This record gives sequence, structure tokens and C-alpha cells, in this order.
Amino acid sequence: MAPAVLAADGLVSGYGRIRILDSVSVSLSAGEVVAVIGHNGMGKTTLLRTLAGLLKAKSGSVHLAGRDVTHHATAVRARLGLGYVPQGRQIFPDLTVMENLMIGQAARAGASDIPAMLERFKSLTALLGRPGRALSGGEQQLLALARCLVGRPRVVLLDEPSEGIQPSIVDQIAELLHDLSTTQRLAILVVEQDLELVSRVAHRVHVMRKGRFVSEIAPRDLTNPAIVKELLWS
Amino acid sequence: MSHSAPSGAFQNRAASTVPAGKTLLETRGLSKNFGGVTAVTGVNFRLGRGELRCLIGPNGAGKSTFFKMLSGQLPPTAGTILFDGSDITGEPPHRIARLGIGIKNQVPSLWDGLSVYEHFFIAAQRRLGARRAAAVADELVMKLGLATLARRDVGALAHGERQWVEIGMTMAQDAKLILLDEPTAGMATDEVERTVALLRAINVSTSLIIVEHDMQFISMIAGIVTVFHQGRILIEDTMENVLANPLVREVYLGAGRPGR
Amino acid sequence: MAPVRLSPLEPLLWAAGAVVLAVVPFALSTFQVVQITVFLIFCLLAVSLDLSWGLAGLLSFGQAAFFGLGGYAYAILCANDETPGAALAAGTVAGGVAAGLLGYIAFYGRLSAMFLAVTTLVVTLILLQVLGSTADPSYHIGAAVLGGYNGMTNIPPLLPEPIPFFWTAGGLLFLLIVSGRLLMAAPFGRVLAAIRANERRVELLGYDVRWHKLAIFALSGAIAGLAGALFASWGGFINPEVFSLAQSAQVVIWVLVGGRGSLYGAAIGAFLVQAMTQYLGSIGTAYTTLVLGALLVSFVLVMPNGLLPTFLRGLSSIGNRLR
Repeated sequence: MAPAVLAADGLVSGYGRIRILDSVSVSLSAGEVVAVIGHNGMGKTTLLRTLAGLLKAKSGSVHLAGRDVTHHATAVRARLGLGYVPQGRQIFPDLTVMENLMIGQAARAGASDIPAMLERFKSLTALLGRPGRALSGGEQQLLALARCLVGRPRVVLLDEPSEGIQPSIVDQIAELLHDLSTTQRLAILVVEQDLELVSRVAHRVHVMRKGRFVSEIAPRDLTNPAIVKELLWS
Repeated sequence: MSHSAPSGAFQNRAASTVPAGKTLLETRGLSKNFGGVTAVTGVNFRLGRGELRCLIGPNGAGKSTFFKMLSGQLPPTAGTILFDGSDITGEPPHRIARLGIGIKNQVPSLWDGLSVYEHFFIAAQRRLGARRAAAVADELVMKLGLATLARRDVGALAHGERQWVEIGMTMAQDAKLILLDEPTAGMATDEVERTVALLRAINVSTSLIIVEHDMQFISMIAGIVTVFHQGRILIEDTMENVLANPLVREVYLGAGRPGR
Repeated sequence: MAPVRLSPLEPLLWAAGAVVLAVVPFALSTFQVVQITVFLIFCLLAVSLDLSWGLAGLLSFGQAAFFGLGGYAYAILCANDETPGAALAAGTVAGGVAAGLLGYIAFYGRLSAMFLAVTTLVVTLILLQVLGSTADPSYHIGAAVLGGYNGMTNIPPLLPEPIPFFWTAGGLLFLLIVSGRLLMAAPFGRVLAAIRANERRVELLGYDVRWHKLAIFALSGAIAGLAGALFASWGGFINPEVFSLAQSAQVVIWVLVGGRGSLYGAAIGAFLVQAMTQYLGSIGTAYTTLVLGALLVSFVLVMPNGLLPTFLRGLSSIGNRLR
């Protein structure tokens, strides 16, 4: 079995007295795409934040490419190749689109990925000189995604990447994620509500309920509303 | 069909399908420029009383900017907005809210530090006074399925849960028109269904304009769909016709995916 | 930052506080009673800032201005043979009107929060200059000679005996804290908390936020004016020092140290900082300012939320661990 690029074991975390993650374990190998689906408030975002180091795990461990990063700050995890695109479009509002991308690029050495990324996200090309705050919500979401990916992370955590994005661009994102996982062996952990997108890119799908993984679904079953209803929403 | 800007005739045809006497909201030549950027140009829009209209379009087409002008958050650069017979162009947000327009912005904007219950209470209190507002707040908590979270600080809520709170706040306002900018963002399929039922119930007494990208949601709920593109109305028609329109497929839908 | 909610224990706290205020003067020397009275007046001033800043999010460096205007109003009216009671009311009104004027310009002019902070500071310093230049005896209001940097002296006290005056100052502090807490829990207070968190969202619900901000700001100015009048009565003097940069900053420091948003924190901060200043001065260190500065810096680093919130959070996490 391929060594795990990201491995979390028995993660418990929450906010103050409220415990949200109830002993969650997940592992990703290079090139694997794992999706986490489920209702709101079940802990999906909390899981990603804990993996990224923005939330301290109360117990359990996180390993990145074999190294124990459980007590490491987010910046350290980022330098080790962890990328995170949170919900809420956190791009730099006062910097232009190009500057946002350049900051993502600056995180690593090597040739610029920006031209290639702009090929993928054609709609951003027309907006290069615009400050982040002048973009529409969906454009900001694309920028956040692009900025993360130009840093060539080894594993990315995506929190609802398709939210607020028009259908034709969601298609492009699906293609992009598929390509990156196959050609660049990028490992992807994605939280999503768009089940069609998930069925197109994911290798494994976990259902999360009340802070734990309760079942796994085969990606192709996601497009079958009867199965989805049965397994997910009952 | 050519890919240049749509002709004006195309736009005006749909705007006049609503009989004039039953118009709740109308915009004439509404435009907004930000420095060099034109977000909305010459939009002639009409909404009938009691209607539920969906607004779709590519990212950056001007939908949210349009909404912000309707709610008074942004002053238009040109054009007029008529609501329920009066000209509300350029009025401040609090006055427009009192005239009966409620809005849920794209990104849920709540008051971190206050509870779910307090949000509904404050939304209802100005109009109803404290005691009735408390009753309304309790009712909304139940209706939106937020009973277990009622006293929780909204800062601790998940993204989709915050959407519910925002929607609930617009319900507490008892507005004549509610503008919802992506109400189902972050919701799972059955939660979307619940929202559809909720919005249908609201629609009985309140007109709605809803911006959405979820085609399944729109097909469940929409009557007429207005499509924005590059700051203008591209087409206004039933869902079926809009989905079949080749320009809409090209600039917005892509390879014919039906949605979630 | 979460607003502190009314706890069911509070009425008990109030009852206890009332008892302490009533009884403690008998356990202290006259000197101590007089000393603590001025601390209570400063607590009142701190509470006035907390109502504006902690509750509504309006940072003002002008509480010293309203404080000073209240003090001068008291002195001027007393010098013109008004009763001390009327003079006290005048001081309160002076603070409220000044704040109302400033607030009107800031809020109805839709000027930024930064504007309010800077302008209130500037106004305070202008008052310092203006009143400092009234040395010539021709500067007078009625029978009240303003006295320039020397200020006004021989101001008649509200009450001649120290203990009744202690009770008055303490009683007013008590009354205003209780009223303030009730205000915070009332719908008006909740709306202010919402305005602090996200003003635009409140507007979109039809509230005229300009009016709300003006109301709380004027109220906080009136309370500061009341404190100023009490101060003039306490010391028998008032001079432009009350308009100094140091005094403006002091009020903010008290609230920072004690913790914003609960009213109790502000009072605790004022009491502790002033008591410490007094103590350091009395043991004769030349480095009072230095020590206070170091204290403030360490607070900002270690306890940025202030004493009371940190203390309460500590209590609740101990409570969790005991569960």
C-alpha cells in the first residue's frame, strides 16, 4: 500500500466545551481524492481546520508525509506541502488578482505555475489587475483555489470549492482536480455538497455525521438519488 | 446566434410580460460603475406581486451588485428603482428595509457573539416590540430546525447553519420582497429540499428574487428565470427555455450538467 | 468578543455591593473614605466609556473632555450662586450635550470610526488649549473666573461631610452600573451589541443606526459629565489638566485593563489602576509612570481581553475540569 501523504488518527477537537470531532481517522496517498459529505454542522469544516492546524486537536495525531505535525503551526504544515482553501473566499482584498497569485507562487521555489493556472481559469485572466475586493463572490472563490494550487502543494484540503461557482466553471474545477491528482499526484481531501462533482473526482467518499465518519459510499452511487437518500439522509 | 452583446429588443420583450398593474418592483436603465468597471448596465427589470423569480448568470455578471442597489447598499450610477409605486432610488438601506425589502447577502453576515435566538429577536423587534418579537423568534427557531442551536453563539455555527439564520432573519422582517443571494450555498441535498419548501411557504405572502447556481434547486422552485450576463439581462424565460438557450449553455452552463 | 450576559447571580451581586457601600465607610479612616471616593468617581468615568466602547463599539478619547466640561460647568454654576444640586445636573447636561453634538456630526455625517476616535481626542486637546489660555481675569462666565492653567478653586462641595459624599458617589456608581446592565439586556442594548458586531446588517433590518449610536454616545457623555461634576465637588478645584492627553488615555487604559463590555470590568480596572498609582506615589518611587507603563504593556501581551473576562474564563474552565 502506498505510503500516506496525509494521515490523521483519532482526531478529537472542538470549540471550548463543545466537542465537534469525535475521533476521526483518515488517510490519503499521493494522487488520491477523498471526499467528505454530510449535513451542516457535522464537523466537516472542523476536520479540515484541525488538519490544517488552525484548530488544536484535543487528542489524536496528524502526520504529513510521515512527519508528526500534530503540534505544529499552520505555517509549518504549509511549508511541508499542505494547502488549504477554506470556505469564505479569503483572498487578499487589497492586492490584485496577479499579486494574490504571486503570493501563492512565492511559497515555493521553481518556475512559475501562474501562466498554466491562468490557462485553466480563463475568467481570471481578464481580471489580473483588479483588486481582490472588486471581484464577485464566485471570482474570489476561483482566485482562492488558484492561489493555493500555484504553490504546488502535495496535499490540499478544499472546503466546498464549488460553492457560488457557475456550472460551467465547476466543470473546469472538476477537470482540474482530476488532472492534478493523476498527473501531479496531488492528494485531495474535499468537503463538498455538490454530489455530481464528487462523483466525478473522488476515489473514496466518507459520510460524516455528528463528528465521525459513519459510512463510505462508492462515488458512482452518488448520482443515484435513491441510494443517496437511503444512505445519507435517513 | 452571434456571441456579441444581446440586442435590446430581446431584453425588453420579457420585461413587459408582467401586467403593469401588478408590478411590485421595477428598475429602469439601472446601472452601476465602480471606477472603470461597469458591473451593471441599463437593466430594465420587472417583478410581479407574489412572484418567485430566480436570477442566474456567470460569476461577475452583476447579480449581487444588482441586489445591493435594490436594498440600498450601493447607490446606482444611473437609472431608477420603483418599489410598490414609489421611487426608492438612492434611499438609505434602513429606509428601504422599512418600506418592505429584506435581503440576505451572499456571504452570511451575522453578529458574532449573539445567539441564533437573539438574531431573530432583533430582526423582528423593531416592527413588533419585545413580546411579539420573542414569540416570532421562538417560532422561527422551530420552523428552521434550529432548536438545539437556539442559544448558541452564531460564531460557532457551521457555514450552512449560518445561512439558515440569515434566511430566518429575513422572514422575521415580514417584508413584501425578499432578495436571497445564494441561499442554499453550503447545504446538502435534503437541506436544499427543506429550503425549497420553506421558500414556497414564504412565497405565499412575500415576493422573492433568488440568485442561485444550483440548477436542481431552480427547477424545483422557479417560475420565470432571469439570466444576467456582463451586467445586462440576457434572457428572461421559463426554466426549460433558458436551459435550452445556446448562449446560456456557452457562457454559463457548460457541458449540459443538470446540477446537483 | 462575546457580550457578557446578565447572569441570575447578578441581583445577589448588586445586593452585596449595596451593603458593602453602605457599611464600608465606617470601617475606614476619614482619609481612606475621601481617597476611595475619588476612585469611585473614576470608576464612573470608566463605566461611561464602556457603555460607548464596550457595548456599542464606539471608541472615544473624549470622555476626558465631557468629564472636564462637567467639572467646569459645576464650578461655574456654583460660582454664580446656583445650588450644588443644580450645578451637578448642569454638569451632567453639559457632558451629554457636548457628546450629542460631536456624535451628531460623526454619525449623521456617516464618518468613520477612526474619525470619531481622532476627533474626540482633538476636541479634548483643543479644550486644554482654550481653557489654558483663560488666565486673564477678563475671562469669566458670570461671577466665575476661569483662571487659565490654574483653573478654578474654592468650589463648594455637593455635601460637606465625607461619608454622605462617599455614599452619593458610590450610590450613583451603583445606580448607573445596574441601569447600564439592565440596558444591555434590553432590546436597545442588544441592538447596540449587534451594531458593534455588524452595523450594516442592522441597517438592512430597518434600524436607524445613526440614532442608536448618537443616543448611547450622548448618554455616555452625560455620565462622564456627572463624574466630572462630582470630581470638582470632591477636590474643590478644577483645572485644564482634566483635558490633558494623559487623562484621555487614562480612561481608555482603565477599560482595557479591566476588560470591555461588562461595565464591572471597567470599574475594576479604574479602581485598580488608580489604587496602584496612588500606592506607588505614596511609597515614593520616582518611577510610577514607568511601572504603570510596564503594567499596561504586559496586560496587552498577556491578558488582552482585560482582567474580568480572563478571570471569568479561568473560572469556567476550572468548572469544566471539575465536571
